[in-house]
Amino acid sequence: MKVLIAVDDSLCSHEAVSVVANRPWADGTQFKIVHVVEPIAAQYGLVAPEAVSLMLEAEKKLKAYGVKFTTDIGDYLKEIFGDQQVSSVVIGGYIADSIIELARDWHADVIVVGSHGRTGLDKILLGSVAEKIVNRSHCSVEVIKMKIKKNDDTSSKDDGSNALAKQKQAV
Amino acid sequence: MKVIIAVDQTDNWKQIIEATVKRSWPSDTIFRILTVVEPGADALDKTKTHQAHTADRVVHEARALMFEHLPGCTVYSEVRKGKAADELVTVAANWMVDKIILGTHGRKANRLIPATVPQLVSQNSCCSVDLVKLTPVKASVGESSLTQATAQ
Repeated sequence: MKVLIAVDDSLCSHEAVSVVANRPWADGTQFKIVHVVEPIAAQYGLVAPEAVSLMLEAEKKLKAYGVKFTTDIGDYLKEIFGDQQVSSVVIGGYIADSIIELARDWHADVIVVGSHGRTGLDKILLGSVAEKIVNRSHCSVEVIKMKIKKNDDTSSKDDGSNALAKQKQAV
Repeated sequence: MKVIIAVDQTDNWKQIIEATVKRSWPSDTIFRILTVVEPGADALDKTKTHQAHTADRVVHEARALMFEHLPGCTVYSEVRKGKAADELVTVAANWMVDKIILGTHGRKANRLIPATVPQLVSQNSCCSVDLVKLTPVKASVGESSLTQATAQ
């Protein structure tokens, strides 16, 4: 079985990783962690052509950051499932399209993705990326939702990395 | 772990059960096979009765298939009446489930076509949702030509 885990650095993504890590899987199950960096330059280049070089630089930094946290997640899963079973990749492109394409090329059996639910109205809506993946993927999709307590102080921006750190401590 | 397996009254339930048994589950997992018979007009009593019978048969057969592949597992089955998405979300909330498994054809809602059951469930449920991609099977009774035409 091949499981593709789509992550960004959100708390919801880390919850998805945690769910995968804590679930029994058949022997030989392969896991691939994927993070997609969207092309910023393509989005803003037409508006401010002079900013393209800055955008490209920002993209590089985002990719480097993506490599760092996908490697962290990969290391965490490797401790559980073994080195041979886990791989990670950071790719550039439009998020949902890239994930769907990778899932097809890699012959994934299931894509695990966070719902990106947050608080308030967002809590009841599915994130646009998750929705696109659900609608267009060739394989099964598991949308992981997380319950956030009202008085939980885990809503700050760097919660995602904190969640991973907590998971590592737990292991 | 508590898991709802949502099936409809078409032959798609087999694909959903097969996808479920392929996965590994904690030993304490409790499955609940749920099918919802949608309300119809009073004039369609005969159809409704037929649907109810089909629903009973489907959950019975699905439960048997689960036992066949996962001997010793705990499986309940239930037939409910109402709007499928509403019932699924309600049962999930009341039973405090960890996951809902249901099939999807990958149809996309737009201005003309209302959101499908998988979309509504994944948007509104309190728990994780596992959407099993269904491969097309021969259309069963009750599946309209419109929904067939909109399948991606």
